[in-house]
Amino acid sequence: MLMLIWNNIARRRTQSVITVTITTLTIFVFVMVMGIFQVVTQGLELSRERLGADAILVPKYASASGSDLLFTALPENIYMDNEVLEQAKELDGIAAVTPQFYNQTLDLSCCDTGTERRIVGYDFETDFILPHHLEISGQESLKPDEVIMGSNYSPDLIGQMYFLLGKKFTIVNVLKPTGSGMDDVFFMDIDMARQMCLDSPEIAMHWKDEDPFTKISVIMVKFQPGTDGEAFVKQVEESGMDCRAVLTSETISTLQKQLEAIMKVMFALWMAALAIAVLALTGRFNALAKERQKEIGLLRAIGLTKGKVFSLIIGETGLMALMGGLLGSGIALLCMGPAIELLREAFVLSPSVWTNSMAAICGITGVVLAVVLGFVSAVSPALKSASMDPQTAITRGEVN
Amino acid sequence: MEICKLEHIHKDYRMGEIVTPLKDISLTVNKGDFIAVEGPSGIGKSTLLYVMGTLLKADEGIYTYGGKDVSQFNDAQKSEFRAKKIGFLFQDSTMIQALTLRENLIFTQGVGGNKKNLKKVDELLYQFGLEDRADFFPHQLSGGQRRRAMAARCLIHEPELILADEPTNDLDEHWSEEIIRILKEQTTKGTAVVMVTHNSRWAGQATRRLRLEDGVLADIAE
Repeated sequence: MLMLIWNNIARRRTQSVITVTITTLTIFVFVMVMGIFQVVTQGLELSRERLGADAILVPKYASASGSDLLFTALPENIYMDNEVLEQAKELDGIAAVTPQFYNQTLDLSCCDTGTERRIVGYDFETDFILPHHLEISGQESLKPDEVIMGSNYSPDLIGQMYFLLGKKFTIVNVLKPTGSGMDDVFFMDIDMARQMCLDSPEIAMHWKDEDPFTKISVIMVKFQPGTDGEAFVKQVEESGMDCRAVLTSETISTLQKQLEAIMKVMFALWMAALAIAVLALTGRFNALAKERQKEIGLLRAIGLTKGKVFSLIIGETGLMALMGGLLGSGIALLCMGPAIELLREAFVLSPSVWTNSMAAICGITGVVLAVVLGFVSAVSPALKSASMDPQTAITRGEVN
Repeated sequence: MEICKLEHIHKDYRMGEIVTPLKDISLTVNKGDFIAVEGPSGIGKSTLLYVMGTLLKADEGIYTYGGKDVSQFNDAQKSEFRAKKIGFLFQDSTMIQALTLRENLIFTQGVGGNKKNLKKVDELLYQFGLEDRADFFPHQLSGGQRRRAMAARCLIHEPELILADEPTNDLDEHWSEEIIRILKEQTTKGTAVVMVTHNSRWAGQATRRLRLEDGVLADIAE
C-alpha cells in the first residue's frame, strides 16, 4: 500500500508538484504571518516586562515620541538641563529616577560601527534598568572605558575590544533580548558619553555653545506602588518643569493596538488564502479522483476494501500535504531572519526575540496545518471514490 | 465439485427507463469448468460476470460460493473473497498507471494478505511474452501487451474462479489462441473459467456454451 502511495505521488510528477506547490505557498504565508505575529507580540510583552521604567521624562519640546525612544535604536539628540533631574526627585509617587545621556555612532567615521546607533550614557549608581537585562548578572561597576552591548551583539564578544567614535572600549557585558531598541544600543558611563561629544570632531561641532556635562537626555522614572500614571503625567505638566512625561505602558499599549490591528488584517488575508487553497485542493483532488475512477474500480475488484481505498487517497494527499508543509515551513523559517530585518528597518518596533523554540512552534504548527488542510480537502473525494460501486467505477470511469 | 451457484438472479438498471439484463439466471459452476457465455453486445454478459465477482449486487436471487450466501458478505468479506478467489479479466485494459507491469503483478498478488511469490511473477511474465516489458508502465505498452498483462494479473494469485470478459480483445491470432490455451490449462488444475465472448471460435473451446438472451441463460446445443 505504501509503495502504491509513494509511486502515485512520484510517478504522477506534474500533478504532485502542483499540489505540493499550492500547499507550500499556503503554509509559507501562514508560518510567516504566525512568526511575525509571535515576534511582535512577544517582543512587546518582553518590553513590557523588562523595560523597568514606568515613565520617561523627555525634554518638553523634543519631537521624539515615546515609541521612538523605547523601540528604536536610532539616535535621538534631545537634551535638557541637569536640574530637571533634581526637580524630578521631588515629584509625588516617585520610587526612583535615573538619568540617561544620548550620544550616537556615525555611519561615515573611521573606527566606528559604520551605522548610526544610539549610545546611551547612564548613571551606574542610580540605574535600575540594566541590572535586570544583563547576560552576566552581578556587575559591580562600569569603568569609563567599558561598554555594554545590546542583545543583538553576541555574548562571545565579552572581553573583546570595540571602537566607538574612534575610542577603544572593552565589552564587559551584553543585554538579554528585550524586544526594544535597547537591543541595538551601546551603554556606557554617562560622563564618558558626554566626554565623547567633545572628543569626536564630527559631534563636537554641535556642542560649541553647550556643555554636555550640564545636560541629560531623558530621565527614567520608577513609580511607587499604586501611583496613577495619568495623574503623574498631569503632575509633570503642571509642575512647570522643562520636560514632559511619557508613560511606557501607554506607549506599549498604543503600539500593541496598532500592531494587533495590522496582524488581524494579515490574519484575515491569510484566512482568505487558506480558503482559496482548500477550494483549489478540493477541486484538484476531485479531478484526480475522477480521472482515476477506473483504476479505483480495479483496486476494488482485486480486493481492496473501501477503507483501504479511502486510506490510499488520504495517504497520498496527506503525504503531499506533509511535503508541502515541511517545504512551506522550512522556506518560511529561512525567510524569517531577513523578514525581521525588514521589519526592523520599516517599523519603530525592534522585533528581536525570534528564538529557536518560537521557530519550532511555528514550523510544527505549519506542518500540522498542512496535513489538516490536505485531509479536509481530500476527505470528500476520498469518501466518494471509496464508496462508489466498483462496477460503476470500472465501466463509467467517473463519478458525478 | 461445485464452486458457485446462481439461483434466479435478477438485476435491473434504471437509466431513464428500466433495463433488465438479468431476468432469471440460474447457473452452477463446478471445479474445472470452462464455460463460454455468448450473446450479442449490450445484452448483459458483463453484468453477469460483475454479479459473479461481487462487484455488483443482484436485486433478487441467491448467489452462493462454496456454500455461503455471498450477498450477505460485508465489504471486507467481499474484498477478501475477490482478492483470494476471483480472477478478473476485464473488457477494458485497466491497470494501475503508477506501477510498472511487474509492480502491478506484485501488488495484485499481495492484496488480501496473499503471499508474495516473485518467481510466479517472472513465470507469468515469461508465459505471456512480457519479460522484456516487465519494467514498463501501462501507458508504454501496446493494446495487445496490456491485454496480456491483464491476463497475467488475473492469474497471479491463483484464483478458483476466473471471470474473463472478451479475453481476446486487442490480441492477434497467435496471442488469442495462446490466451485461450492458458485459460484451458487453468481448468486442468481445478480452476473454473467463465468467459464472455461473442466469438464462436473461442467459445467453441469451452466445455460448456451458454447463450444469454432476454435475461435468461440457455445451453447452446452442440
